[in-house]
Amino acid sequence: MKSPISYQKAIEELESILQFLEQNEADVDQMTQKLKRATELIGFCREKLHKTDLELQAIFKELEEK
Amino acid sequence: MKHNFSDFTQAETGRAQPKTLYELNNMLRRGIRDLFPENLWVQAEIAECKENASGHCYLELVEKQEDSDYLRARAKAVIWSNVWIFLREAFTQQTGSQLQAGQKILILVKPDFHELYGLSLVVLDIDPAYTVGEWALRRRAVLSRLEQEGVLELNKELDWPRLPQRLAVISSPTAAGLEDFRHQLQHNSGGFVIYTCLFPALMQGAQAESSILEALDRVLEHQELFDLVVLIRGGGATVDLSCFDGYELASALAQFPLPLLSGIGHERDRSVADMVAHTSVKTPTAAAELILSCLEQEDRKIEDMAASLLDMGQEAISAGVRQLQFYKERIVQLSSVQKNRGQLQIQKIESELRWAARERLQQRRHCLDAAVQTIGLLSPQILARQLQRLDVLKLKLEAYSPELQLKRGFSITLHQGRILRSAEGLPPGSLLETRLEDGRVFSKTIQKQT
Repeated sequence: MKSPISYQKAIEELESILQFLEQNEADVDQMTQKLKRATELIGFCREKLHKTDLELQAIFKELEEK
Repeated sequence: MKHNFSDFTQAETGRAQPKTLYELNNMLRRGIRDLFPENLWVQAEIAECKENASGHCYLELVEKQEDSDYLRARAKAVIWSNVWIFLREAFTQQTGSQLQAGQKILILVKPDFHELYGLSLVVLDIDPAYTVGEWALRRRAVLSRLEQEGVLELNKELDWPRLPQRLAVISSPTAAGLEDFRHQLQHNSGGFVIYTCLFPALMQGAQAESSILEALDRVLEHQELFDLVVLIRGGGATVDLSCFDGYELASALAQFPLPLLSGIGHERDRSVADMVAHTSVKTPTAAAELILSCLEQEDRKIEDMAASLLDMGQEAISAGVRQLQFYKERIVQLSSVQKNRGQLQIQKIESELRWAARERLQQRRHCLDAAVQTIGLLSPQILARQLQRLDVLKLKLEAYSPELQLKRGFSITLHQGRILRSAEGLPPGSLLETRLEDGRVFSKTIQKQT
């Protein structure tokens, strides 16, 4: 998966996909491609909110103990 | 020359008898009492404030020159314990702060001079409203200075993070509010991941301001790791918050490159720190709620988008299905039209064929009829001619018949049922049958000549 740089960027891309699909009559191939990308982005965003970044957690712990 | 003390005093004749220190101080005491027959209100700043074991409160009062720290006046003051009990309560209740160094106060005093302890102002009352007003004034001065420097709104102008998940928390490690804050974030019902990193600082008293400034410096070193700085203080309402009104801290907070959320906990007015922070709430709990509500909002947004996309996908699928159905029906329709057309064509061909066949048949029938007619006309003659030919043929055939040969006197010899055509290979003594016109004769060969 093409990893988005940031959550903000992912949301912006998702918004533009939604806008495109709402405004255009995408053909099946286009639709499939866009939906696939959107699914990846949503997965990324959900992960950001709910999945623990152990590396960051470790860094914070180390900082606190300094 | 030797002088004794009495000689010396003697030499200074014409002067009054000197007074003892006690006498002097006693005079001062009486003089002061006479000078201030009534109590008076005095404005002063507290330089030091101590309560001793007997419950009396001792103050060091000063007055500074405007815009500098040079002292213009200094005096001791005392609040006797029987008064202090009530004043302390009233003051804390109305100002949200204890009496302490740095505060400006308005007090009702009775100047008193003690022979041993010197001048002291006996405090009879304090007006907390003055202190509150004084704070307001001071805050206003700090704010207007920040505004003039163009930094007042800087932190507010920063973008609030979409996902405030990585928090630099500046707080006292022992504060109950901090524990609540962390617990609330870690056990959120939305299952959001939130990282907190504590940068410990004193959150009250004279050292608080510099301690918070140090913590800010440390956060700044790891700036890129954080989305938000949270300044929280847990505890009762009676703690002094004047440390959050200082110019240095306010200036640093306002110019901090990360957005700031303050949850300092104030009962009455907002502190300067609150005012320069990007966002301020009243308690650590409220700070945690705000952070969680941001994450919930994002979560909802993502789920809404996911639902919209799902709808669109499903809509696209059903649109596709509808289209396929349409094509299918169209094909069926077209093929039935085609079939009908074909059937019509077949029927046409069929009828054409039938017509052509009938036509041909008709023609043939005509031919046949003609033939029959012709035959009918010709047949008696043909028949007669044929009969004649047959008679001729019959005669010819009869000429070849064996009966006729036999009648003519020829015979036929058979050996073992077969016509004997050659004498060769016929052994002597063979039984022969000879057919004649009127019967058969059987004989045996005696001799053979060839």
